[in-house]
Amino acid sequence: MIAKIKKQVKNGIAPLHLLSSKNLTEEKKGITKVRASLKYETSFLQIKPSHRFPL
Amino acid sequence: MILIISQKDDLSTTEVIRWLIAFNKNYIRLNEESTMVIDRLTANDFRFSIHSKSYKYTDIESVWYRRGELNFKLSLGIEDANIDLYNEKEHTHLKAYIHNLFKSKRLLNDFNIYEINKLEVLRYCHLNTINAPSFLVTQSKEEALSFFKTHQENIITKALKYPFLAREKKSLFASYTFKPSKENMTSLPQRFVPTFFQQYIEKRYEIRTFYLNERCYSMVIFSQNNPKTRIDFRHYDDNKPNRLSPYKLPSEYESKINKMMKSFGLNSASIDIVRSIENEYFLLEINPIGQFKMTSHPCNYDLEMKIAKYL
Repeated sequence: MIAKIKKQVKNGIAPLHLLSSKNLTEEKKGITKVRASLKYETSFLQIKPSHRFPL
Repeated sequence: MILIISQKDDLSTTEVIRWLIAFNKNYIRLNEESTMVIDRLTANDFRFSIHSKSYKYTDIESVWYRRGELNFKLSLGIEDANIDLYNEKEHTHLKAYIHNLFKSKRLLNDFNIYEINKLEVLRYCHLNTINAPSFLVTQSKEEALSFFKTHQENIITKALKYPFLAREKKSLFASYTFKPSKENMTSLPQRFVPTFFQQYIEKRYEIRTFYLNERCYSMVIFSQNNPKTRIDFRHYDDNKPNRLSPYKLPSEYESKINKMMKSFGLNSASIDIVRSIENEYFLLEINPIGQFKMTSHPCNYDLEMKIAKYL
């Protein structure tokens, strides 16, 4: 996909900002574990009076 | 009865609904993935069904247009590209009328103006002394290079409306704000598709403001010191997340925002602002259907509860 985008920007049929495109699926694979652990570690800190109701 | 028009996966809608339940308020959540069946629409009557349950227009007291569209498609398992295209145009007309009807209710946002034009916003800023980065839309390499030179090779380019999203096999690709290099600019062909270029503002920090009924709830995002998030904070750094904190804009600036929102007919939206290293505020864009959970939770604003109270 990225190679295709680069070619079409060069041809003038894709706008220049598409060069910033990235594969979100690839990126997500690496961070799922970090997110899961952060969620667990911070869950105890997030119980504030304003959140007690109606959760 | 409160009618909420949303999408199945919108978590903010769910959080507002939790508060509606706590406040004992009746609601109907209509996701665009579900069908609204029009039973009867006349000059003085409107009745419809959702999941085989009937409702009268007169039962509805307030409407929250959160996001998504009304969907009149029947799942009959029959498809015809030409007829589907024709129906789509017909339905667009019908949707506009129904959303106009909702204007007589207590309304939080309006489907007919949710796609606010970025260029209109920047033009409004220009005419009303609200700082906004200068911009250029062009199809000419010569003009683009001249703009690049005028701004000391510090410009960005981004989507005029929505970021590019494309699926290929099992991968999802998305575009972001892009800061082109000299090489990117000189490699452009002489003519290209209309492209939006904008002056790059060296920022001290950026601000995300959620506007709700004449009040601004702002959050500062310290994205500048991280090379990953400097150009576009949505390149989230999960190992070292940007610091987020509640923020108060100057009252005079909030008044300008309030006036602008009224002129666009909006009573709820997310607004992107940056504060430059010279301490000036620059308004970047307005998104009426933007996510507000990212502002509500880190700043303890309880926007979900405030929305539920308004409805």
